[in-house]
Amino acid sequence: MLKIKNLTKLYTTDEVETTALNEITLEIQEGEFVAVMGPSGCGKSTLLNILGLLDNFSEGEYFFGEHEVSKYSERQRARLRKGSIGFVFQSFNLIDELTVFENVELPLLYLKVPSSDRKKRVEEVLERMNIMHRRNHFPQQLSGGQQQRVAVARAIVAKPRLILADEPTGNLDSTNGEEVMKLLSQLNEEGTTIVMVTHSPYDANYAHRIVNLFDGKIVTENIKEQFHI
Amino acid sequence: MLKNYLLVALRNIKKNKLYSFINIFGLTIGLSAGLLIGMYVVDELSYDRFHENVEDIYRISLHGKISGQEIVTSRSSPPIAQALINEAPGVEAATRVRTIGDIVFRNGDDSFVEEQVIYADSNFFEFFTFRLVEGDPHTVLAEPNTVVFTSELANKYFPDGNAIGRFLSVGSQKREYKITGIAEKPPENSHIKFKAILSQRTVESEQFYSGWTNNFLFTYFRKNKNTSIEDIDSRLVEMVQKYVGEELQQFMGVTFEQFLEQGNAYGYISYPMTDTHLRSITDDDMEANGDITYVYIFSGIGLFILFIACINFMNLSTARSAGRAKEVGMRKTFGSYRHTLIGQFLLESILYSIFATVLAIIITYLILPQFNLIAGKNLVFSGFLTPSFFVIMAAVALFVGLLAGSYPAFYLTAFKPAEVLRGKGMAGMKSSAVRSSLVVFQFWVSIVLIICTTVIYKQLSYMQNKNLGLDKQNVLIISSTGKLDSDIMPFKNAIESNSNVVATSFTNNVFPGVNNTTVFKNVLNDQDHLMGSYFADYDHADVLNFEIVEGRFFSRDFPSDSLAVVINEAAVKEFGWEKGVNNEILNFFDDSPAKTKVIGVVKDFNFESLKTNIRPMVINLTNTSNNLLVRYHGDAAEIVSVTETIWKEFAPGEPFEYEFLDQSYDKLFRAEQRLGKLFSMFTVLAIFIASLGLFALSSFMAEQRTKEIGIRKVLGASMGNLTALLSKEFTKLVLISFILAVLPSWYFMGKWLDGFVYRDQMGVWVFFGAGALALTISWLTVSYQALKAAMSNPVDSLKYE
Repeated sequence: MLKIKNLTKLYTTDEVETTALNEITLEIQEGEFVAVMGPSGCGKSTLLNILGLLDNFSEGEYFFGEHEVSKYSERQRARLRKGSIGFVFQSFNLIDELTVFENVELPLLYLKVPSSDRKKRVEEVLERMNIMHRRNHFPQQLSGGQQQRVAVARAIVAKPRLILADEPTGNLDSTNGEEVMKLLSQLNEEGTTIVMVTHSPYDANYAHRIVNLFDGKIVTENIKEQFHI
Repeated sequence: MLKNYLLVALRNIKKNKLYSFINIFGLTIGLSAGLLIGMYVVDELSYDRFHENVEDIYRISLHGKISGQEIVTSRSSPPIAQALINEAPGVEAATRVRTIGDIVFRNGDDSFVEEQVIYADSNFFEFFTFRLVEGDPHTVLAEPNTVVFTSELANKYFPDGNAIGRFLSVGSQKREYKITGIAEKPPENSHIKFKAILSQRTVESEQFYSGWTNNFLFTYFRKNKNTSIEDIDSRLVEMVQKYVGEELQQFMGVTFEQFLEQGNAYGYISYPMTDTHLRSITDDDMEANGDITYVYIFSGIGLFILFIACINFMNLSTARSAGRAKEVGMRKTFGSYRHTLIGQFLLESILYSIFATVLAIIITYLILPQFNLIAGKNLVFSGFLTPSFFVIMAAVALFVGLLAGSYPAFYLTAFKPAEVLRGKGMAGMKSSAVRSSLVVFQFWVSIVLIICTTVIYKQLSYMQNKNLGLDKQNVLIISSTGKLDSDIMPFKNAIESNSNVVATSFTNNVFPGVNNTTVFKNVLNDQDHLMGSYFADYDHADVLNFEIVEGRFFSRDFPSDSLAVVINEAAVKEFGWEKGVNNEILNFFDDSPAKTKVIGVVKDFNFESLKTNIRPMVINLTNTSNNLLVRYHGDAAEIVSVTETIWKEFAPGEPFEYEFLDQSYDKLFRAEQRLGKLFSMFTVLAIFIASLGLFALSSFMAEQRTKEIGIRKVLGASMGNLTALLSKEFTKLVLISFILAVLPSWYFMGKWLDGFVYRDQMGVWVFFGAGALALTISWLTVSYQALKAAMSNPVDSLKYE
């Protein structure tokens, strides 16, 4: 489903050039659950942002399905994002001015889903995330776990083929973290491809495959069996 | 989606109360100022345009030069109107208006002095688009001794509503007039204003109506659409040669050609009626004219103030960008295109601007009466409430919304989601070159306005306090003393017997201005000299306290003074004499020239506007006249009361008309006073809005630097250090604004001052004072935030980060 070849990402400031990703090649199949691990600053989030078409890369190729997207315009990338990719972030990134319902509704608005349909789908997903009773609350009125459930609801409401999760449990206690991981796992079982960046070996264990990054390079793949949790 | 945008916008307004308040309030003030100025400008531009075929209506002005003196007047002579009809093909109609000013109307025992009384020709109501409530426009003024009242005046004299056909006596001659028509009050935007119109037929048989060189009334004509105005002007040239030439020959013994050869000029030109109010080149119009330059200036100020308010919006939106960055990032992540986000932010700013526009309309409605007082206008709010007003206001709201929202929209939507979500994209928000430039612009406008206002007030105060050469304080002018007939001298004696009265003097002229400008001749060389001239009695110098530099003033000890004149220094110069006394000059007041001897020279004093040089002037002797000047000491109210009591003894039933000489002079400065007040008002508004923006901006800056402040405090920075730290950036911006403001304001105010012959120096302190004021205001604004931040517990600020 996703294929990157010799992908390099350089950050250039005034005089310093930093290589965030160094000739990475990676393929992710439809329906896979991949965890990306590595120390801070190794390029995990950069990789995720590039996979999510939120960031550009310096060299290499990136196939999203059949399409090579490196030359895509901002408009084409936005179109691909809204239809096919859901995002879950460590810091939830809910819009403070919108209620739970409105936050979850947002992707459907951009997809121009008719109003009645929207309502049905948002309610469905809120029910599923067990957050329906909070539908009219604002993000600040929710606990961290609830906020992340809303964020997951928002990520899946448009039924994306791919969910990119950047340390989804990073700001949660273990109980809430567990809950979110179960949700992701469940989604994956239903067929959604998931790529998750994490520091937690425990969370990584939910994935089929673990990709380990170090200094912008993939050092090991498929190392799941190393962890015996 | 629209609903979603609106929800976010409304919740943002609610959430950030201070920020929303400053934005909406600033925009409201800016829009109110813009709206008031807009109404002012629309009113100025609409003058006289309500007349049908106004673009074909012209007024005749006289441009001449006699004996080196320029004459420019909007008045012309009575016979021109008929001559135009007869001799200028393409002139469809002509009509004449003569102003009288104040005149007494008597109805039985009631008598009132009425202003804005005019004489008009019988076709007045056909020619102009003034509406009659009662009466036939073709005949109301056709007969002698007929008068048309405005409804207001008709109700005053005849509250029973039956004014038509009733009689009143008018003026000191107590001539009977019959009311034949009731007119609507002329629109405020008409340069011809009247409360009563007397039929010109009543007076046109008088001899001075036949002279081509008697320029005392306003002549209007309407041309055919197909006739060019140049054709008519060329006919006017022919008429002058023919008719004025004839009179010159008769009175001065020279042909028109000889007259021109002597370096003189005399010509009538047509001036479009639509230019009368704003582009007039004469200063003797029926009412004080507007000036197109001020229309441009105020339009500019209105736009500047509006822009300052828009800048607040831009600066606050971008300064607060950190708060919105996440939203932008998320919306982009979920597939929003940049252009839809731009649309969202523009919609938000348009929403602010709609709020502000509605509030501005309400505020404008409420403060319009005060604005009218300051601007000397009579703008009526309901008069502007036309469909086009609402369309324009909607367009303004949209435009302001787009203008204010454009920069933030493009700035905020340029964030890259990956960077924002990573916590980057905030670096650029602390300082922004664009934001700094906008602050510089705000203070630039404010400082320019402070300088302009100061220069205007300085010049005003200079003119008001200038030694005019006569003492204008403590002089009461009693008018219409001509009504006293044989009691006139006993009246003067009775007034003088009061212990508070120092001296009294009769004159036919009230300063400023001189009511007659005419030709005098030097007996020796027969050369013409055009000079101002008026009549006064023996005590005139004692009342006005002007200085005699040569010879003496009129004296009862010299019976020969009846054939003497006193002239000013400018007149001595005009005649080319070294000494004035004992020279002889000819006047032409009567049918034959009379020889008079100069017995004294008075030091030049300002008897006209301070915008012009002191002209040559001749004072002639009279025993009595229509005005009595009273120099008094003590309380002004008391002298009015005392003189009024005496007046009532001598002239029972006649209204007591008076004014004070200093107030009369103050009328000269009314335009500048008005300008000063308008400028101060807009300056205060501009500074206020700019400071409001600075206040909010500094609060965001202080917020962003909380951690830095905390660390500095821990390391031992004093409150003074921290206040200086936070004020430094703004100080720099205000100083840049100041430097940029100096040159343009120096240039424009220099130009403005050039319009005055008697002008004050601008002075360096005006500029530095303005800079210092702007700096102080900005420091006060910023220091509140700085102090707040500096006084907070450093641990809190570190914890906060």
